[in-house]
Amino acid sequence: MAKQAVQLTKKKRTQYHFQKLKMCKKCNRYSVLADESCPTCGTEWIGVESLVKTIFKNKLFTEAIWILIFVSLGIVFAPTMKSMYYSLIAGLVFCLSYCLITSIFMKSEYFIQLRKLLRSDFKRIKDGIGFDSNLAKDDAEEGRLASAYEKLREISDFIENDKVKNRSVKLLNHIILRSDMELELETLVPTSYDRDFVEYALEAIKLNRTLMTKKSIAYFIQHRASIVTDFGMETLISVAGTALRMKLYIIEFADFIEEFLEYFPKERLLRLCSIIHSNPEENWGSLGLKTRGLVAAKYNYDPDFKRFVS
Amino acid sequence: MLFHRRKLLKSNHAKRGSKMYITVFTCLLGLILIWKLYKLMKNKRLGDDFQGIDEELAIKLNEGDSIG
Repeated sequence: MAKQAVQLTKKKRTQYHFQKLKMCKKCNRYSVLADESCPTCGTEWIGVESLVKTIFKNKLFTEAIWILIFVSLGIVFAPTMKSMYYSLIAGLVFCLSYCLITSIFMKSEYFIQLRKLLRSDFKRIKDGIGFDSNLAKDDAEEGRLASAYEKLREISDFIENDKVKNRSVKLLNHIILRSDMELELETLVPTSYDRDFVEYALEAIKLNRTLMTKKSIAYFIQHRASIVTDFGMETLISVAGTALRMKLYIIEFADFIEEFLEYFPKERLLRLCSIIHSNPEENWGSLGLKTRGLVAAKYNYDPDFKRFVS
Repeated sequence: MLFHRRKLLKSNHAKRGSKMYITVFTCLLGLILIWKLYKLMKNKRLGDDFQGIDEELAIKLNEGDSIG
């Protein structure tokens, strides 16, 4: 199957994942997709926060009605004019105090209401995400790869399992990746060896080296035997090269880097040397010694390495 | 004279009843306010950890590994 050239939309980010949840009041179904309206009935989604706010407002309104009824009854059944005035004043003071304390604790009450709603509607939320997942499946089957991937990208914020990751990776492997795309790697790292993931990762780091994070490097090290069998040694050299991106990674994966040191291109070795040189307080151990030895043996007269050769 | 005493007694009863009414009514309002404050404080103590909601949702949704 030939790779498709597609345009991926930017992922909408929220402070918390639950803020992505929305509901169709007509179908009574939750969704996490970025669509504006329900694909079944066309009704506009209501965000979970708006839903909670509406429930919260209704609750406050009901409470206010009960309070007004109680205070009004108190005023109406007052035996004398004097007690009627007293009841009126007491009722007013009570209403004001009630409003004041409710507004002070508004945030925590909103939180309680939100938690209550998510707990009670949990089953429906799960069913809704299942429905979204089926929509993604339909899109993939009908060749709408970008749409299918975007759906899975939203679902993976909530469902973190290898099935979803594998489906996303398979779709990405059928898309022509470009550097202007908002690619992800760390979120797609599976728990076991997956050939499709490695294929995608190698393609993605060609476009953006910063995608290779600690978790991804650790994955390549963990499954190095299978990766070498399927993709060859060059793959691991390339991954070890990307680990030179940060001092932290060099320290963390020193043994792994050391193993492929002599296969690094000049530019990668230069990067390693400059990091070691600018951090003399760090204990670089055998990596530091081996790097110095390699530079002395291979690049002793190279002007780019002059400052590292003493 | 007797009529005048009866009228005075009646008025005293009314006064006492009115006082009692105001006391009971104010106490009831006070109790409602205290009960509401207690409930709000209790909810406040449960915290407003929105991150916790996210985590709880993620744990529950990933139980059973059915979606995929």
